[in-house]
Amino acid sequence: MTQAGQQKSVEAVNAGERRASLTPEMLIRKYSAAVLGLCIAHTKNFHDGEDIMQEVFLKAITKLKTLRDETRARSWLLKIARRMCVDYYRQHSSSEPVPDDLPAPSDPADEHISRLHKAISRLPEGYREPITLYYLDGRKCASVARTLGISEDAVRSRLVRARLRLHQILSGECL
Amino acid sequence: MNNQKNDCQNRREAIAALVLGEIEPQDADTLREHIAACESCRLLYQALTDEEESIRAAFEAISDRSQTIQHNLVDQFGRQDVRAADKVREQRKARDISFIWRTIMRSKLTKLAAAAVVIAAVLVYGWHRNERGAGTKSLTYFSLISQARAAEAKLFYQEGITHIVNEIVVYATSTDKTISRQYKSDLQEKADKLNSFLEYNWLPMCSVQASGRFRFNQLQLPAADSQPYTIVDESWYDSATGNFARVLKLDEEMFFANSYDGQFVYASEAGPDGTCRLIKEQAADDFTAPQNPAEFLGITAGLPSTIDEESGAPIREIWEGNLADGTAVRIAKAGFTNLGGELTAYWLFKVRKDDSTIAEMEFIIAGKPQLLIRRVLCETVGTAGVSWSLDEFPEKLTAEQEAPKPVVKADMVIPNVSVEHMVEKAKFETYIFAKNPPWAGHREIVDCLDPPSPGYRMFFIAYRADDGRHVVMVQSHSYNKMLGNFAKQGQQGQPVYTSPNGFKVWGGGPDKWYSEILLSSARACIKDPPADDRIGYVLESPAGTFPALAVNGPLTEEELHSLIDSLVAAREYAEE
Repeated sequence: MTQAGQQKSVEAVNAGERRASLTPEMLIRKYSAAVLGLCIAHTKNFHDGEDIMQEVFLKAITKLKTLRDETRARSWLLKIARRMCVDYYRQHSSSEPVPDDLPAPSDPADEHISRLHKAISRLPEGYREPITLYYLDGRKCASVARTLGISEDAVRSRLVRARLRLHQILSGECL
Repeated sequence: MNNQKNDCQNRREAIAALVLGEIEPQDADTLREHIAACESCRLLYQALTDEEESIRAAFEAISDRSQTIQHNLVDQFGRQDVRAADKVREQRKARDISFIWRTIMRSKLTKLAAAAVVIAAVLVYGWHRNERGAGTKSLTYFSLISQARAAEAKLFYQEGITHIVNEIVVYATSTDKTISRQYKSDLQEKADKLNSFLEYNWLPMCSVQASGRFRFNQLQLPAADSQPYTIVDESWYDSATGNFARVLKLDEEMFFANSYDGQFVYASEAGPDGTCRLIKEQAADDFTAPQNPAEFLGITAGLPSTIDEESGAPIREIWEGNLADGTAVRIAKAGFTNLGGELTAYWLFKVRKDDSTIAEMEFIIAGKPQLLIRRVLCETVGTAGVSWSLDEFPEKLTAEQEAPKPVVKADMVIPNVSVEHMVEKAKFETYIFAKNPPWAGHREIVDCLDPPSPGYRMFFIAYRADDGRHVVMVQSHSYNKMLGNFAKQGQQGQPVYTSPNGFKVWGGGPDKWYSEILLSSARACIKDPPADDRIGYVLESPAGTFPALAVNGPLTEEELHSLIDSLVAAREYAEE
């Protein structure tokens, strides 16, 4: 076998190992927060976000064997989540749009959280995911950059703009 | 003053970065000095800092919540192997959901029915596509690779009479009554009618008519009770005269035949009473035997497909292997995935490496072989084993056997029919667009068997559009049953549009999946493969039928509304 051939074999084995080592349980434990965050950011409320999150994992686990590289699991999952959120949006983009003023939760803390997530869902699409992932990833731009496949500088730039826009929405400057 | 205001405006992003800790230390120090001296910047910094805590708390709440859901998910299937996810999918039937299709596809039975429709779709396309070829009677039949196609044709161009014998083995699991019973309880009587589809497997079967054109039929293969049974498919072709004969036999008894003796065309036809008789017709004046006998004789006869299309081909894998006798073959796996991305129903095509002919074709559903078609003999003989006029064919076969026997049903596909034909043949209310979509042109209607609903016909209405946004609407009894029963369970689902003419339009869910099937089925009319941005809808008509609609590209809301608003009952359209 040539050196290139050997290298290919090694890579193939490594890829197989990477794939084989990722179990459904690991997938759920490692990435559920990011998936839930993204689903909530897209759907405006916890309940729908949770529903979609479960569907995302259900789909992902049945298709796990198609994932060739474990290191791309997070991006792959978020891609599935994004598609499912788009489907959700289509389903609800009828003549009766989802009302902005959903009934307020009774717990003030929940109310605050709900208000914040609603504000995030009002951010431009390009800002929603970076800011969500940033906070869920322990505020590391590098991790967000890897997931979204963009540069750290781009993440940082979108993040600060998103953060300012969020402030405007929360403070009522941007209605 | 204005300059200072502008400077501060420009510092807003830097201040946000400072709050987030995403700024270089030296820049942070400089900015802090400014904030200390500038009231507006200080206020912004303070507001952002105050908010920051609650934002982090909100995301921590997501993390906490995800932990709870995480435990539930892991309990459900995370600790099991991947297959457990399917079980979970089944167990969650009762859950109230908003996506109609999610509910629909939860049923294994429905998946099987859908698989059958998918298979039908591929074949319908292949036949239809070739039938309408301008001025040609030629079929582009299934080919795994071009060499295989050529090799199959070459078999018939030898000195003397080519004699080919194939076997069609129907496995005992072919109709999978176990699956039927297992899921019947889940779906209760709603599935009863669909179950009838599981009582037989089927293959396309074409015959040559007196006009020289092909007629597209369906070979229905009843379940094997406990042991596989084998149908012998025997063909003879005389390259010198163009005479041919093809007979299908079970236990030495012919139940299908088609031949040409130089003057007459003979074809068996099953009647509605279950009898089968041979029809003799004078060949038309302009009759010429189809140019390529492999299109209607031999192992590939009746199996046209889109499989060799450059784009949208459903070939999933190709690998090398051996037949049971050690013959080296290339094996191709082909089929459409289901909603879960799984390839549960597929064909394995085994192409000999030595002469590139197709040695075997095997159809598999849910891991179980259903059918095997294999070539057992190819030889040159001096005389055909039957007369060209098929004198050996029994005068009249009855279907009074204890167990159902294989039968060939005529007209599986009838391309290019009229609206009047659709109204007459459909046993349910059909609809049609009163005017062509503004972006689309020529309309074509195709009538075909509805495999899961014996006795019913399925109608494809297709419009080819110059901008690629082709429109395909499919109406069938099976869709009315499948989509209707399940759509009503989605109580929280809201139609994306309700038209003044009483149509509800349901979207979302796996619309990419089913729109691909619809568009692939109509490739004959629309030519192009399904686009990435295709969309699908399920329509609920005023009559309670459920047509499925696919558009090969994005539609504006206005375009969708206009399209749906123009739907009228085909009956009324035909009367006008």
